[in-house]
Amino acid sequence: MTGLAEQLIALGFRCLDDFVCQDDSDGRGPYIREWKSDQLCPFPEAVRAPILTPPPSDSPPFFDPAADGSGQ
Amino acid sequence: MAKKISQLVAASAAAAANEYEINEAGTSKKVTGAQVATYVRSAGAAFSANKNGTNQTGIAASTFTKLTFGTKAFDNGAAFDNTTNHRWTPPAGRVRMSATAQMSTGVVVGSVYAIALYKNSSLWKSNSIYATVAGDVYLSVTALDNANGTDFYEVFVLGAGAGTKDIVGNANATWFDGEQV
Repeated sequence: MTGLAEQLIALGFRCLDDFVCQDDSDGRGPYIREWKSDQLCPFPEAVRAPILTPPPSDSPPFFDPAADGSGQ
Repeated sequence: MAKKISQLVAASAAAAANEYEINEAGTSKKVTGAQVATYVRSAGAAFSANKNGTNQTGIAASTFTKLTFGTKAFDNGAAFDNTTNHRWTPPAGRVRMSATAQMSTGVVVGSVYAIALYKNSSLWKSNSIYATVAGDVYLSVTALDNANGTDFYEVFVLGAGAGTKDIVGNANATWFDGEQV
């Protein structure tokens, strides 16, 4: 069976330029890590939400209105 | 600011020039330079991991695929996860990592093959080649970083060209090392 990336390439999309496929070797198989093309992704179900990592400890904190003493 | 060096084994007496006196909790002790060097080496986190001869097969073409490393030659600091996530999470400080992989199947002349270090699940450092002959390709990457204590590092490979690829499992062909420097 042809892999996900190969199917995209067969449709004319270019690896790394138009999409980034990834397999985390966790048994879930390949998925589209990043879709870069201006065209719609032909396999939207294969697009997995980006992995969110906590910001670096030295990054500015998010604005918290509740903690803001300016009123409103 | 004074810092305490603990867990040093005190020499019984200062008998040579290459010995130093330290004071621990008011008690004067002597240690040798060799003891200090041994302590410093063992205190730093370092690991070496490999696949213990098991090939990683069926890697999809044009897909960044995480390499698994189920065997550890050593793991000072117990910071390498060789069972679930196959990643190194070193203590805070400067670290250097190296990874090498041999891809043995699905190598297509003119296609790109890459190895990458991922930091916190994102591509961080990579190295790539174009295959000039069919057969095996040998990929390697080395990088230096200043880890914050929660940063983690993984190895991914990518092989273009049609067909699935295999990674050779021999410990001398595919491995992942890291150390504090």
